[in-house]
Amino acid sequence: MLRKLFIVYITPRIWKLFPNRIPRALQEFSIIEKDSGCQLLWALEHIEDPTSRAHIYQHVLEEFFHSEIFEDLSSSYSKDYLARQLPPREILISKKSSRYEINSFFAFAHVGEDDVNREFSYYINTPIDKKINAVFSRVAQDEKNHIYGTDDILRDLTKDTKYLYEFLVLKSKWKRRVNEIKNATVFVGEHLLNFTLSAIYYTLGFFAARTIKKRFHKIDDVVMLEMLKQQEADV
Amino acid sequence: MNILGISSNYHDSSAALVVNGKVVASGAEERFSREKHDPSYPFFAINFCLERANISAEQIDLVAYHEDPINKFSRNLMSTLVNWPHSRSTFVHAMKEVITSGFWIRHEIAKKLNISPRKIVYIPHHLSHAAHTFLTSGFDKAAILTLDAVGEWTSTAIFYGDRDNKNECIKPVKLVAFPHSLGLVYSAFTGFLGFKVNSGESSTMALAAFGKPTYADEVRKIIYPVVGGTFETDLSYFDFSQIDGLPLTQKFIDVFGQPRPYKNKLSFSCFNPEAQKTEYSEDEIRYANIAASIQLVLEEIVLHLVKLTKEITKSDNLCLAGGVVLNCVSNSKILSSKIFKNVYCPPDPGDGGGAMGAALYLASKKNEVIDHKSFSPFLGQSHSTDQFELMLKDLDPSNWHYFSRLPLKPIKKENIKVVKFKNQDELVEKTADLLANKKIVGWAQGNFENGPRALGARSILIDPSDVDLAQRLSKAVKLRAPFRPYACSLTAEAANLALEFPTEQGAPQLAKWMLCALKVKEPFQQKLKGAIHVDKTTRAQIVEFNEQPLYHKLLSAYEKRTGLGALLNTSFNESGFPIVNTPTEALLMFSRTSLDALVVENLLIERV
Repeated sequence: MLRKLFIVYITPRIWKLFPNRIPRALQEFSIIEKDSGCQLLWALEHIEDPTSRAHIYQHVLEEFFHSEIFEDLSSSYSKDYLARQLPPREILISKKSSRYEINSFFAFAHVGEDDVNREFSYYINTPIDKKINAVFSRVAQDEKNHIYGTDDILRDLTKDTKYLYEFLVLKSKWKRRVNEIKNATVFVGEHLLNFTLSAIYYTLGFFAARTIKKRFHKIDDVVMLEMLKQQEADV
Repeated sequence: MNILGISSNYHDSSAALVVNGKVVASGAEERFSREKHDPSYPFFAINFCLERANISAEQIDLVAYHEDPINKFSRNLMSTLVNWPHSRSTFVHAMKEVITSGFWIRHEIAKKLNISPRKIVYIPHHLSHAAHTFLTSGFDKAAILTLDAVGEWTSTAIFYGDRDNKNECIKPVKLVAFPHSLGLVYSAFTGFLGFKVNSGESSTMALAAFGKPTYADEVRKIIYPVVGGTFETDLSYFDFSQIDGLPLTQKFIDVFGQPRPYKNKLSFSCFNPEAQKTEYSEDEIRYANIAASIQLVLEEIVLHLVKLTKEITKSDNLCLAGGVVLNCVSNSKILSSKIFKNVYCPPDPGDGGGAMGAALYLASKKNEVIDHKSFSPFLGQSHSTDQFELMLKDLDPSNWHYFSRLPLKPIKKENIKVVKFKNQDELVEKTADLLANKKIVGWAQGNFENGPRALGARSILIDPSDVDLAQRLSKAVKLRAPFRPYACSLTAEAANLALEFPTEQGAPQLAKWMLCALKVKEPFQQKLKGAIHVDKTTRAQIVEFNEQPLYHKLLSAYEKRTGLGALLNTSFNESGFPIVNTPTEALLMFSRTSLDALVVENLLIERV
């Protein structure tokens, strides 16, 4: 509910006041979609059933495409190249993942698709820019199929153990909620860190800038050579 | 002794494993993570290396990290504070990076690998580069020149390598201290010209061929050689305190004009240059002239440094490394200057090769005998196609066109033909037929190659004589600007016929891995028309049978059909993606672009 209120009422105002935030925000969607595609690509290696593999393949194809259309949309709002700022990567699945981890991954993917679809539906109806609404609308159509696709795979993977499906879905929902709180904390923490570092910058600079400038310009090839020789000796 | 090399936290993270002096595996993280120039901790690349050597993390004796984060921190701290009070955002950004990962990298690696932090050793950045090139070169003694943007406090370095000197096999001789940097200046111009910094430098080099160096004198005021020394930079043209946007001051803009908006397309084309538009816009000419000028000055400075290296070391052998060395035009100038008799450069001279360099350096310090013959570009991952093949039957290609940025035609399931070959020769003959029939073929075989150049393990191949086909490749597969030329693979015999070599010694070693541009002889220019630049050069890869038997067979089979064993070879990747690794990734590109056929190991997938 809070998320919906934020997207529908706050986001358009923020984007109107700070239009330079639009490309970065859209690029984040591109990064999320690509990450989702990559995680599924890694998961594909664990799936033996050819039909399920083909479904996942299609899913990956779509996620990569979504990533590109968000990237294109982001560029259309940006004057300069926007370097991709990748968040720390969370590896949900790897070659060494156990059966249980694979099942958990698909549960997490299924719950994630459901969340993303809901979030996209908010953006479709948010009064921002028709171009943005149209892209969200286009992507949301595919995302609906992703919910069912991941659900089918998860049901197939967990069919031999009673209540495993329900347990994993519940666990994933809980994990996502915890992640949301964690992300919000990181967001606040990051701003506090920015503030602290800015204070350090101005204080340190006020007292030490002149000395640093002098020292900085004294660093020449000879000093560096000595430094490198010392480093080499340390190795 | 098992030594793991790691490079991360800037761009092109990678891992490499050296076992008893032999390089057994190496790979860039981007090939696994699908994020181009991925700077993250190389989780997948490390796992691959351990898996290839069949060892666990506990069996790692030492980890060599490609730079010293403490020195990097001191540079970041000082270089941001030196611009106080105008550099708050860079300071905050740099310090956040340090706090979150950089400074604690030893503990991060130790934690992730579950090993003692004492096993982790920091190797200075340029020493990693120097070790990478020297210890894989096969020279017993050599001069080493590393040309980079920046690593810790150094941008450029000259070393002397001597395998017989057990205490100091790589000895630093001369350094250029940051902020004077050839790499940073070239990258700043790259940004100015509207290309991506740290990835679009090859576009600057390609654009240079269309211009005249009319701004060379202006560029020489920015970066200039010092008599009897290295070079210096006039920093008043740059403002490195910006995070977003270009690091240029008004002084730079006053001299060179407004930067090129990255969305504006350039109308230069290396295909059919004689028929192309003769009247470019004034701005386009200005950009091309600026590119030509910075390229010329870069070559001058590089030659100055090469001469200096020769004077200091008196060696006949030169080993090159660092990101600047990917400039194949400048490398050709080094070759034709004949200052050094032998010139060597590894296929991944940039930061991607840093992991291997760090591991090799540490191995040599531990008195391991480095087996340079174990080194090859083809130390990446390979894949079986068993499960992949089964999946193909259930795919639905009818909606592929719907998920592509390119205008693809809808296709039906029956339009995709899959053939499995039992015999490698049949596969080669069929592929050669497709190529001779003007098809665009994706070719994925064996271990992937390391470095930014596709060397016939993950390549897209076409007939090099067909300019229209090369244009279709740029437009409908690679989404690549038409002013960027393609490279070309040739058998040694074809290369002898078609190419001019810069020295009497014959094919240079740099041409084995596409690291130099060679002039195409007049009679062969038509035959290689799709793969030559406007200056009639091509970035050649000379393929030897004993190193790449299958690829050599393909080139030979193609020669039987067309008379020349040469193919246009470009990297197997889509715009914005790294080169493919797995068969599924190759198929994804086939699904999303106009590739006509895909050859993955012994499988042929074809649009019919």
